[in-house]
Amino acid sequence: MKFDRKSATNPFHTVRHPFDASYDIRFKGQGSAAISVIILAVLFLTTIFQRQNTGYIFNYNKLSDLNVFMQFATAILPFLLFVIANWIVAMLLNGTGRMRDIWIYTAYCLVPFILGNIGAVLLSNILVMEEPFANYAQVFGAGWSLVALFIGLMVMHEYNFVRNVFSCACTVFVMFILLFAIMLVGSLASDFYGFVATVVREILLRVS
Amino acid sequence: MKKHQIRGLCAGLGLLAALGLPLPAYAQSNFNSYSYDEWDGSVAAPPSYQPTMALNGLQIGAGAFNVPQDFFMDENGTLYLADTGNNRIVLMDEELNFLGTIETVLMNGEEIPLTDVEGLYVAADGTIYAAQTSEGRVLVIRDGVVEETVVKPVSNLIAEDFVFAPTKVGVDMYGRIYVLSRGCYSGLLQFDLDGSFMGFFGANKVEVTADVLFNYMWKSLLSDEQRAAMTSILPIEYSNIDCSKDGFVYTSTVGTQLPKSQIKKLNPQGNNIYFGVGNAEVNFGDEEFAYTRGNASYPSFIDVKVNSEDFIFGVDLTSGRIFERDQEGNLVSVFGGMGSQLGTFTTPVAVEVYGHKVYVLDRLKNNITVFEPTEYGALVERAIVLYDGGFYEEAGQVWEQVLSRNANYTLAYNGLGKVYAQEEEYTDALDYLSHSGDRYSYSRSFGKNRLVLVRQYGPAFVGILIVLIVAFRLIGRLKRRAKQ
Repeated sequence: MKFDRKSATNPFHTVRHPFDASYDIRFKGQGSAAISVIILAVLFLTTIFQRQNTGYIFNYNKLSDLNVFMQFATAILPFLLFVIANWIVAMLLNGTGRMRDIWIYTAYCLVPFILGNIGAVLLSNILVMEEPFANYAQVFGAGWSLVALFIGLMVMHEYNFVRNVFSCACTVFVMFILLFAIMLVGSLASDFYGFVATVVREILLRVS
Repeated sequence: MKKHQIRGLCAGLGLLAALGLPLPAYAQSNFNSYSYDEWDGSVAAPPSYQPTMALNGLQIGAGAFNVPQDFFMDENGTLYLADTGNNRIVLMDEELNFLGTIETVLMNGEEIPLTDVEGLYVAADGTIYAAQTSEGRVLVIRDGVVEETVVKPVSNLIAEDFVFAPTKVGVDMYGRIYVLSRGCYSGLLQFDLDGSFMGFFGANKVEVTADVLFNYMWKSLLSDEQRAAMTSILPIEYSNIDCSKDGFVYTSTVGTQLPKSQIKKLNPQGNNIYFGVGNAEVNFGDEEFAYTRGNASYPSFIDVKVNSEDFIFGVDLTSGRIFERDQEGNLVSVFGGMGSQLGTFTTPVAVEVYGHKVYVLDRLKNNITVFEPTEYGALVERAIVLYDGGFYEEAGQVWEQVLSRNANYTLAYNGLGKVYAQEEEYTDALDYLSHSGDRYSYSRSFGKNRLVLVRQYGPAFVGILIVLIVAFRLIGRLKRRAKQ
């Protein structure tokens, strides 16, 4: 597919025209999975950049304790949870959006959030404690992302406003349930692993 | 062969000495020395205090001690030890040489034994205040004669069934007597010069733990009768008091569940004024605690003492460590520990300071351990004293020496950074402050440095920008003209 700068395939176009772009992504097959993956990769790199390169005045992290896997999880896991949860809720509430559309559109909506964070990091290196502009940049980026996401989901699922608010609330709720389920499975798996490991060790001791 | 070797060794040592090479010298402590980094993780540090001796009653020449509960060092360096189990007070000098004992005192013309003295205070004029716990009184003894006694006060503040069991006693600069009574949760009892009761002073507050909140919820649901049957929640009583020269009363608290404000500095109104940076409550003890089966062994302070330079020493019964902090709540040094070797304790109960020496009394070992500051420890204290006194440049030189001995000490970076900021050398200031964790000071230096940079490069930057804009405009106009 040819990349058209003025179509919904361009994330910068999408976040500036959320009504049209979300419609195009859902019903005209625009939007690129490859670009969404690139955005997620940039999001991951941005969280590391933010952790390590925020100015000393605003940075309370211990720079030597960077855990890349943890950073990856904190960047990507909420995205995955949101996409899955919203898809589940859409199925229950007769939303018309498909998994692919939700994924691509949500990833595209992260662009202002990422830009706001990068701006905040850069600003934090020239600001002093009393100047809160770095926070403003962050809030502005995050706010834009949330508004674009809300509008896009409304169009994509063909909801009215009230139904979309309800759907978003349900999505957050389902995200927590999913998180709980993941932790449950994780703890069960580690218990199961411990059990198997003990049995194997016991058998090996008997055999030898 | 052996002789040959020894001769060789001697020759080698002689050669080293002749060349002026220092022989590697080291001293091993019986305990770990550490300080804390910005993230409350412990990092190794050189020892600040080293034990020089530990003597028991027999070694001192006073006969074996029996469960001594308290001691007090007066301004002349005489140490008064309340040898509780032997019903006597033992006097020593600062080198722990035996000076004598007081076993009986004259009271109303008759000799009475000094039974069960758990707390002591000695005023500058030699007046001894001895808290006789089981007798329920505090004796004020001058030259072996009881001048007055402080007994259970008659007041509508005090219940009929209140048991007055004074364990510790302190006297402030005005001569007011502060008495700590066992089982009294309302704070210290404050008495006037003539022994009349003035009121309670500076009670601990109830700690808000999960249990307390749960209890509170239940109590709001139950009837009055049911409520009365429940255990009442009381604040933790103080474990010890120390009256400083400048009129403040320092208290220590045992068995707190929230590691906060275990040491309090009470002003004359009875309010705690000991806070750290940003008015945060000071955790006087360890930031990291050991967990055994999910239960944290929190620090539990049994005694507190302030020295003449306003450094606060607190003894932690849980870890056997003595923590030294300054008036801003910064950790200066940690020494001591649990064990049976020199410099470690089984049940430390009291700490005293004379000059730069620290004395620690162990109740079960029945001995007194004397600590003296090492070169490093003395440097740290000197730097803090100089800085607090406003001698920034001199303090900077000392901090420099501290850093060459302990590169992990954040307070030294802070001190040096502030010194450089004072001298308006902001690049160095920022470099040092970025290791100190003091973001407020860093921010101030950063702002000033930013102003310097803007003044220095601002005009040139703006000039280049204007030139570039003009150049682009011109090129654009020329291009358009060429097209036409």
